[in-house]
Amino acid sequence: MLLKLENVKKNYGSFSLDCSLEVRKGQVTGLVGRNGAGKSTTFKSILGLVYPDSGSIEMFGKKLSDVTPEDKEQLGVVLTEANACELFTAKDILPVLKAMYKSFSEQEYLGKCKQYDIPMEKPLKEFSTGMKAKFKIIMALSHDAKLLILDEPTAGLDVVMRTELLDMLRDYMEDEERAILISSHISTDLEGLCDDIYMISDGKIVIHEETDVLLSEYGVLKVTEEQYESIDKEYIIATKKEKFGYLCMTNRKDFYRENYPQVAIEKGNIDDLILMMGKGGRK
Amino acid sequence: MKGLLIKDLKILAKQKKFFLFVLLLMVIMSFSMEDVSFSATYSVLIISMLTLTTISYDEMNGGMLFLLSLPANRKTYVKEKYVFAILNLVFAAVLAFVFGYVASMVKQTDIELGSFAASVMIVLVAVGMALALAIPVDLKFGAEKGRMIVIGVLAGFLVIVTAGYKALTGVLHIDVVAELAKLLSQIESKVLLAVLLAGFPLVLLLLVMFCSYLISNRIMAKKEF
Repeated sequence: MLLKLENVKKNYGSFSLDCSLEVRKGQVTGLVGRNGAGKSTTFKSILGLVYPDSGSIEMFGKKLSDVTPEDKEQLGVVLTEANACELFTAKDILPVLKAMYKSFSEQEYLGKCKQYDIPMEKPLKEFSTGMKAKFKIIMALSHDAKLLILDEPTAGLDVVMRTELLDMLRDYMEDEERAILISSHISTDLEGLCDDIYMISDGKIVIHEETDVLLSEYGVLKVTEEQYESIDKEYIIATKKEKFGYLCMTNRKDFYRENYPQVAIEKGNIDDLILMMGKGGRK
Repeated sequence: MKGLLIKDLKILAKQKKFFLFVLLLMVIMSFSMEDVSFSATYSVLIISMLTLTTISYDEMNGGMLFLLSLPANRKTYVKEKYVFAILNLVFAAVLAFVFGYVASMVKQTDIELGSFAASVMIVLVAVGMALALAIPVDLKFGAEKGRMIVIGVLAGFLVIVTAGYKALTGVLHIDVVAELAKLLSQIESKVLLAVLLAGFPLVLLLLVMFCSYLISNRIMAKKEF
């Protein structure tokens, strides 16, 4: 186990986080949820940037408070809000990272910068959004980290860059000792990459499921009001009122397909989950 | 910590225009004024304050989030800031001293090295004290707000010291400077005198810096980002 959060609670007045999750070796774990659902607070708690009110966080098998800067060399981090000094160029940052990480690979850093068209002599403040996002990931990937913590790494990237980036992450995962915790608001990114997915809503984890199960067994039922009254709701996990009746999220698509052949059932995806499990959607 | 030091040096290296400006100012001042020591000591003040500039760059654009996600924790950050502040003070003092010496050679004026060194040192200690106040304040309130607070506090401090001095001389008729000089003149050994004059402020500065470091550590440990 590379990372484990147990009942991590944090109160911010009207918002409160209560999160438990695990990231295992060899796995890519996704965290999805709407803006303000608690993803960033979760990431910041993991990185010790905010202090949870209660609960425990373990990283690399150690309590978070015992994690040393040396341990942190095993970590590669991308946070949406975090940026290196804007005066710096990619060339300026190289010696900083080199001094920070024993296993920093200059060759890999320079190679990736070249491969992804990062200008070495241009200050970061002149970078486009896409360039900044790519550069952040290059920084996180050039020191042979065991665990990547990526908060919205694809934000601001176009479809080509996103594909490139996801390929980078797949390459990274070829070593089975590694793991990634990633959040994104672009669900297709996660569907193709993650082994399991946590969904967070209003600060609470509402679903934890393997991606395969999620995609094969979850589904959305479109039912009229009469149909809604008559169906067995045992495997309905969320319901949303619509003009024509109800949208129901199920985690046993097959059950309804067999028993209610007249009901229209669509394949579930993460977007539907976010839509239906979010505020006002749950049953 | 090495990584953070390199980062701060890189930030300094980006202030080329600023350094050129200071240099120009020093040259102009030293040639328009009789005494070169003023321009030299002035530069100590300006350059030392660059430590605060690095803090404001660190805070900009989620910079602290970035730095603390690297293999550096809050403690390393604070430690590095003080090491950097001291290195920067020493650098500024050496620069001022060399500049003053060269300027006086060029102008062919006599400069008494002892008193010149003393004036550089007085400024060094004063600026160091100001930094010892400003660093924790900046860490607590942010560089922008911090600057206002520090200026306010220093101004208040000056007012109090001036008022205190006036009260002593005007009301109680004690001439502090003369008393101090009398006290010091009783010390016969010149070496001891020099050590005392130079050593006491430096030791005091280091002590204040250390306290300031402890306070900054506490501030950072409590801070959330």
